[in-house]
Amino acid sequence: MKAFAAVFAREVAERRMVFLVGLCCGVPTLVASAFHGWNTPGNADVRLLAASVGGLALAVALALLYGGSMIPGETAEKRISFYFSRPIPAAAIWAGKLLAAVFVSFSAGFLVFLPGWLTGPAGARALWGVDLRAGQAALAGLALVAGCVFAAHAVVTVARLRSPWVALDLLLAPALVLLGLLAVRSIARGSVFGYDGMQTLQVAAMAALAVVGAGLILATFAQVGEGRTDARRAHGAFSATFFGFASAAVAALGGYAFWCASADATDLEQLPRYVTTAPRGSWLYASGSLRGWRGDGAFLFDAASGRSIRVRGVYVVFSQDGTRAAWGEPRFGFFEGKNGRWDLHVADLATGRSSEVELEPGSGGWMVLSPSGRRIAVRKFGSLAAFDVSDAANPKQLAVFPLPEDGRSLGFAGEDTLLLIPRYRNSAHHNDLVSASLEIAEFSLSSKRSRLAGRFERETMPFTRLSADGRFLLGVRRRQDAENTSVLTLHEVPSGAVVATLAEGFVNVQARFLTGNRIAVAGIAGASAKLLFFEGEKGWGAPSRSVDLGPALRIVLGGEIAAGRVAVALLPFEGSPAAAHRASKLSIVDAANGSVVSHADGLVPADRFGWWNSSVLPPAEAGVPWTSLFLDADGRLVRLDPATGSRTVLLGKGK
Amino acid sequence: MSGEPNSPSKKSPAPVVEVRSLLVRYGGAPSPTLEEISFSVPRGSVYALLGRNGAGKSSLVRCLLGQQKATSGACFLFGEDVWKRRASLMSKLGVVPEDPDAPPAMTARQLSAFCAKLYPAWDASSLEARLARFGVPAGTPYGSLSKGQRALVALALALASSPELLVLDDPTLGLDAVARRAFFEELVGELADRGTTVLLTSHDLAGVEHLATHVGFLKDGRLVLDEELEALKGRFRRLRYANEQTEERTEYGQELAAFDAVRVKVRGWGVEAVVSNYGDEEFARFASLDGVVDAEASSLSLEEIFIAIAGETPAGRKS
Repeated sequence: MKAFAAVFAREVAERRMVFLVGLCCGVPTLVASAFHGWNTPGNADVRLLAASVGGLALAVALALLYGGSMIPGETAEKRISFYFSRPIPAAAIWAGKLLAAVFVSFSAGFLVFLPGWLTGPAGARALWGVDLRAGQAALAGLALVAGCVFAAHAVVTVARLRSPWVALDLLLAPALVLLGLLAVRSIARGSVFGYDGMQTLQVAAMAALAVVGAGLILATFAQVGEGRTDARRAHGAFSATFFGFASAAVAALGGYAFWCASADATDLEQLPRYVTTAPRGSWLYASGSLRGWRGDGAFLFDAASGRSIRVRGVYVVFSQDGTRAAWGEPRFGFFEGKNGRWDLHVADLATGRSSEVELEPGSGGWMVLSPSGRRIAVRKFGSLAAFDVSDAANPKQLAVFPLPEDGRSLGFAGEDTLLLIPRYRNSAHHNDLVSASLEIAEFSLSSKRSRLAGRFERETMPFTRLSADGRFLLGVRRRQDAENTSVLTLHEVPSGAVVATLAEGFVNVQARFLTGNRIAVAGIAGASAKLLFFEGEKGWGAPSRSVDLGPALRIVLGGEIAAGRVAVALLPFEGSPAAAHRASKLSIVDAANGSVVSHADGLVPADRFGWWNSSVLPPAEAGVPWTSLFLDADGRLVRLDPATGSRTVLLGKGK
Repeated sequence: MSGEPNSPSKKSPAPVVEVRSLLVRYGGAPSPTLEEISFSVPRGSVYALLGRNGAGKSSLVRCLLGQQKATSGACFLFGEDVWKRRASLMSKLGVVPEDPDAPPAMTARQLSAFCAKLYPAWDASSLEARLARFGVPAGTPYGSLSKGQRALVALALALASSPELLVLDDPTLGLDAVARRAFFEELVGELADRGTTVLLTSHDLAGVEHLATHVGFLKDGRLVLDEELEALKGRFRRLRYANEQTEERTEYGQELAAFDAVRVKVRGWGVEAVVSNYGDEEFARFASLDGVVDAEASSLSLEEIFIAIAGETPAGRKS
């Protein structure tokens, strides 16, 4: 400690004139301010700002100068032997010199800053919009000065010690930066949501600074301790330590990135976000929390085989036959250099392979696959384009139609016809939209012609869904009443003509097409859950059966779990989704006789958002895989055997 | 004194300096700068390490001071590995470097104050007295002093800690005759007073000859000679004689085989030879040989021995 103090004091004493320079540099700020009128508005702020800039500039300049000269400079000039031929431990030489460099630089800068600060605005804490308390500002300044000292030390070590290690420096520095960026990119890309990726970048930048800082501290210590007066060996010790440490950090980061990236759907811990099921087959899309820092992930998952495909997008659409899925993935920005753009991905679910299709849709959500999955339509701002993606690697453009405006959903009615239908709006202020928003447009891909096929009666903006066979549209209009109830209507396609009003006065209304030309409608009326069955043969005008399921505030309509039997979950309250889920009751209702069989509590149909997310409802089929998939109260995806009531956990580890 | 490494034992005190199989090799150099050097310096001796420029003297000194790690081998001071125990060992050492390395802005007085914090037995008054004797101003920045004055300040600093070992790396290089004399006089005085062990490298063989008790010659990275100076001077002689050919001896110099001649020159008047294995009895037999006429033997100075061994002057001039 005595040796450290001696070295520190000597280095500071040798540079004592710098303190005088600092004091002198602070005075002009006050003098200029006095000439301008001491108490003129804003003068105190100007003084503080000038003092801050001046102080920072002097501190940084001195830090660079001393950082570069104190150890590497003296080593190159063979003057560092003065310390090594005396009873001074290498650690004391290292710490004494570098801390003296930091102390002198920071103190000189602070002396420039001091007069402006003392005469500045009382209580002023914000500099350039950064609200820092005095202690925080001092720490930030100190960190900046220390960073400059060590950075200058590193640069001068490489430049002046002239050892062959410089080749390694020049090779490893960019290589490690590149590898680190690749690892960070992999971690950030793993996130489904963009803001998590951005947070990852911010944390990565802070971590990189910490690694470089720690590496420089270790490397400079090794340089002095192992290199001593030998310039080549000093450089070697510096480079080996710094790059060894940095390589270990990058390797750890790479390992972590690999560990994060190698997760599959079975690593999903909870599924709080979305589960969207394919209309046919056993594939589904699931997203949820995943291992790793703020980890989340999304996958296409085959409930039958357990295979999964990593998806870096939120919206996935399936073809009606369940053989294909498509989604948009945002480009990350660096390396590709096209930040903010999207790539379209198409997966062949039969083989479990996905390929990137260079269509660059305007956003990830506005696309639809044809019933066979061989065609895809992408609605970009101002245009609607259809492609043949039979060979996903070589998409062929079929047609492009100009669109006058935004705000519509898409649906295929067969392989050749596209329907552009009014898009879901849920707030009353959209009432003033022009009437054209309610038109139904039909596009023929073979003739490349479009026509106005029909229109909705304008009351409020409707929420519409197309039947899988393209025969019907279901429309929901929200009423402006106290209970916020809705009207559910059945429309003919493509004219939009009203066939029947299926429900009126329902809250949380939903519908499914069932086998046997039937429709199930669920909703809450008067704090009680209702389930209505309609049969086409008997005419759509009135329900063939109405089942009162008892008190509930929300209802989730599932699929036809067995022929004529519909799963429905009742949630007793709103406002606390997790608690409501846990308290929910699952019932299976027989359309033929209205009988209700209660199952284990806490199960909600997995495709609970399917009604809201997809512009095309699943085809009427009973007992297909998706109808037996449920989310339990612990966020796990389970398969329910309707016959025995047994459940099998497919995804998620629970709480 | 031996060319072989001596392990420190409990019975005999460890030599002050011990170098074991020291090998120093730099980067892409084809041959090592120092190759398997071993020697030791006993307490109280003055060891002069001699060699031409580039022979590896400074590398050896840096290794001895723990400032440079050897490629292999090790250096011990007072029985301890100097690379591992440098800081504590330096408190027993006084060092005068080849190139002045003290901070140029510091005065001798400031340097003394700095060193006083580091050495337990720092004698600032003796340093001031020495500087006064040398006529070196104590308040002048080190960088503003002449080269001779800087060397004298370095010596004064080295002596002020009352060191057990003085390491002087060619301290008089580039000094004028007056400064050189002042330097050596001060050193002689210190040795007379305290019997400090000294290891020095120098080109000034005349100055060293009066101080050294032991000598080591470095040539091309090898220690070709490591011996007490008196013994060295005792076995080296210059022989001069006239040589007459006889039936037995038909070539000049053949009769010198018993003396290990290192240099033989045939001149008009006869033969002049430098031998490295001189003995009075052998010389008497030699002088009585048939054909050897007017044989005489004379002593050699250290410089003459150096030239005979190295074939060159210490500074590299061909003799």
